[in-house]
Amino acid sequence: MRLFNNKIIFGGIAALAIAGCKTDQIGPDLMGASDSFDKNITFELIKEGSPVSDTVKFYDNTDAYFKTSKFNEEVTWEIQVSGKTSGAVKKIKNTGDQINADNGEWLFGRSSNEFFFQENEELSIKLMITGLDSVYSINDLVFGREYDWHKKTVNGVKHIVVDKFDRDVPEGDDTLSHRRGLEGFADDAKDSDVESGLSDLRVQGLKGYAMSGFDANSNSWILSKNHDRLLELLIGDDVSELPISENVSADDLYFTVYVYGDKNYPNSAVELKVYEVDNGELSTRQSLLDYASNVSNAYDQGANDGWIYRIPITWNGWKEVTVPYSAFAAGSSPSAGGAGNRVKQPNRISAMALSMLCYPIAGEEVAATVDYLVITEGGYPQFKN
Amino acid sequence: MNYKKSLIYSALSLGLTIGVNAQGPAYSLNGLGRSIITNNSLGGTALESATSTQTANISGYNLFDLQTNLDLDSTFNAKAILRTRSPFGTAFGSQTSFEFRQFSMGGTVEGLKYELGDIRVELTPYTVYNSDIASTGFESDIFAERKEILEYENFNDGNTWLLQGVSGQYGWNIGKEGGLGLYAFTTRTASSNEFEVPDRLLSGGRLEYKVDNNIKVGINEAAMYDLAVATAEFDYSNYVTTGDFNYQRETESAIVGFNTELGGSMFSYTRNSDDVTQEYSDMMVDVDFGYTLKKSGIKFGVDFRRVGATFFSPTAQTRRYNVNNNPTLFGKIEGADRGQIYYDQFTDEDVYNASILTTLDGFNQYFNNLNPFGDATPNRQVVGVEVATDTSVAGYEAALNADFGQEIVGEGGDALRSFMVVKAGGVAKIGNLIGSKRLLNVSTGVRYENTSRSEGAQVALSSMLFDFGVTAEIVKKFDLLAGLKYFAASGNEFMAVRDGFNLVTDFNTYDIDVNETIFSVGARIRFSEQQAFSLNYNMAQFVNNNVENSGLNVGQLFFNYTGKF
Repeated sequence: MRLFNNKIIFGGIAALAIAGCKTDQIGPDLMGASDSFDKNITFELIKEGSPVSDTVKFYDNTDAYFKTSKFNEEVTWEIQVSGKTSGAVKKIKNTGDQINADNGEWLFGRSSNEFFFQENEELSIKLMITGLDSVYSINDLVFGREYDWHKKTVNGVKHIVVDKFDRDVPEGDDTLSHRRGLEGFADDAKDSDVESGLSDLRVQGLKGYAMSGFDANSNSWILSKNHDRLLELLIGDDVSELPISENVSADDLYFTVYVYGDKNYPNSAVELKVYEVDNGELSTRQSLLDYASNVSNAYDQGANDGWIYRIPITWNGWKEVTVPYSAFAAGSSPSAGGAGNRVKQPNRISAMALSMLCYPIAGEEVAATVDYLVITEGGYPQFKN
Repeated sequence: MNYKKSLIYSALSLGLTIGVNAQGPAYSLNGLGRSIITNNSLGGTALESATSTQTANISGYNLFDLQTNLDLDSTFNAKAILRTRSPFGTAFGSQTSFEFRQFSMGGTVEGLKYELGDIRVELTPYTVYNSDIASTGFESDIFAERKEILEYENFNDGNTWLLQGVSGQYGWNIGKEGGLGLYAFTTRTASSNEFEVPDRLLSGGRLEYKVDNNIKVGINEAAMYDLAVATAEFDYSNYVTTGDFNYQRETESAIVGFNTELGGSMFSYTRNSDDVTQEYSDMMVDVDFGYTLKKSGIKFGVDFRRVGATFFSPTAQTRRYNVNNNPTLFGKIEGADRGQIYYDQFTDEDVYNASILTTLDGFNQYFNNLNPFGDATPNRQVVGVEVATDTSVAGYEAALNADFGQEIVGEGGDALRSFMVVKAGGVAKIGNLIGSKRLLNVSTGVRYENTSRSEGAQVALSSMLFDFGVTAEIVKKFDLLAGLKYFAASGNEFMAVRDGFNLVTDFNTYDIDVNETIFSVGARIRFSEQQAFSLNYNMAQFVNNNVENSGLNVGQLFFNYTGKF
């Protein structure tokens, strides 16, 4: 009996041929040091053309790079910069026979994980080479003043820092005049155990902002932090200084905040609220600026739009959360942001608020910590790399 | 090497039994009760200077799964499993939990069989398949009983995945022996939180044409895709399509089988934060040939498979075991996670995984490097041979497998890893051999694996798992059981780190030199085929020779009563 005919055999061979198509290498280059690798190498951090000996600052100069002497063979190497208090870690990994400005660049003092390096913290810097037990170090370096992302455009993305949640007073002139942050505060008097304030739980700067409480009256709202006059984002020395650009679209505008979730509080949520000035008489950016700059003028929530987005917290630990303005929904209460023209107009955004909610199920205990509230134009934040 | 299970998911057989009889309403109950108590101790050099580590505890639980079955008639049936579970040591049921463990409805209407709710889904090893954990294949009954508990608790049943959705099957008779069967399903594998996570659906099925009693061909599809929301972090889709051909013929002296499966996958992942999209596709092929001598009951097999480096099939590559989960038993040592040892793989209920993952998660290469994601492990071409007994042999079971594999594409360079796995083992059913009605089995097995890469970033890793077991029925239905496992691994490896796109972005280097010995002794009373009580003592001794004071000794007295009805 013949078990297989020629067609079956041919089909099998064809199948093997098709499946045999080769693709490229998987993953980055990986090359271990051989026994003859010369371990006698130099390793240093270069900034402004010179080795850094004590403090590396990124505030006004973004560029730094690591440098070694030339290796006697190509190897895969990894540099790890760790902040001893912040938890920030920067990793740079590559393959080659030398580390220099082309492959060892450290821009903006960025980290690779969720934490930002902290001003004046001590750094641990190590160079590891695949296949080699030896670890090379740069000791006694301190991370100096951090890069200020406010109104900086990186990779085509403009950043507007709303609040770092580092202090309970205005951010001050060190970053930008008129930048006061979310100084306003309100809580639900009918809720119990409501607590809020600066917290050592943080990703950026010195502090984060912790919020917690029990939604005793089951209305979901616990507390809010907001710009005090709800006009701060329309204040500047002139219209060119207004943080949000005139022509940015709702699809191109993003709101980012770091949120620390605790799964022991499963119905915790953070709500972002964006206020617009819809007064038709204020038709130009100059008129908006003039209106906002006059301290006698107050924002009327009963005559304007407020746009909201609720973020249900479903994770443990820190998470960078970004929401496009196009995903925000109009506020429904006529007295609290539901009375404008119902058209998203990013160039008329005047303020923000951030609220702690008990959502989607009301009437429970909730908790969360937030940090570093930022608006970006043209894409997501470029803090990490 | 793998002998495929039947590729048909009963679509055809159902199709050929159109015309069921009407039945009257029927209501029935069945279920499972289990009581477990463990007395545990932790010691070893790792605890020499420990001051805040728990070193002894007693734990356990009682549970009762009551399954209610309602059969109105052939067109509708429903079943629900209500679980009552009480942790050991709580007073008067104070922490007793009640939950629906499983719920499904189904029936047959005009030959169309449908099922809703919790449904079991399985297609082929490259489309939808819940692969087994690597083992010698011949472990002691005392260990196998522990693993059965974990599989039950984690909804493992054969190689199926338990998912929520709907399925339907229909078939048509064609000629005397032939037929056409269609099976289709849609399930939801992840639910949206209406923020950054979208709903994810799995849809697929099988179309099978049975030419005659010897030849079948089929087409299989498994598609996973997102129902994107505006704020979703990603938009994902993966489509796997395969075709298979199965030939089996029985002669006077032998049974000959030839199976082949060929297909491909298409993957697309968009990260919405920067609108970056990655798309790639790849192919797989699997051919196996089996020849069984009817008289001697010995079967021979040869198998070849080649799975492309970017062949992705989440429902076939997701593993039922999660290496990253910290075990529950003595989970912390001085506040830090203990991490898993081999003992946890078959004793800890919390290290298993019951959900489909879209990326290839990390795996301990020293436990299984050849096929950590089942036969569908990407970037592998493997040739295997097997000699084994079939089920007609009553006095003993034995098997010898050897697999030789190689990567198709180098990781981190041109150099390719090579793999070799040899498995051998057997069970001597001495009771059967000497004509006794008493159970007396002695089993032994070994699995040896070697991984090497001689150029570039060199790799040399080897591991060995050894099993020995005895089951002796010294008094009718009263068994003494003993088992031994020895695991050792040494060498170096580079573990690939993958991102959301399933692409390798980095390699973690590690050296390993570990040994672990596990021995268990105990007794079992089998009240009936459905009920048994067992008591055994287990000791696991682990040491990492690369780390000073790393020795761990886990002792466990284990009481188990399980009854099914």
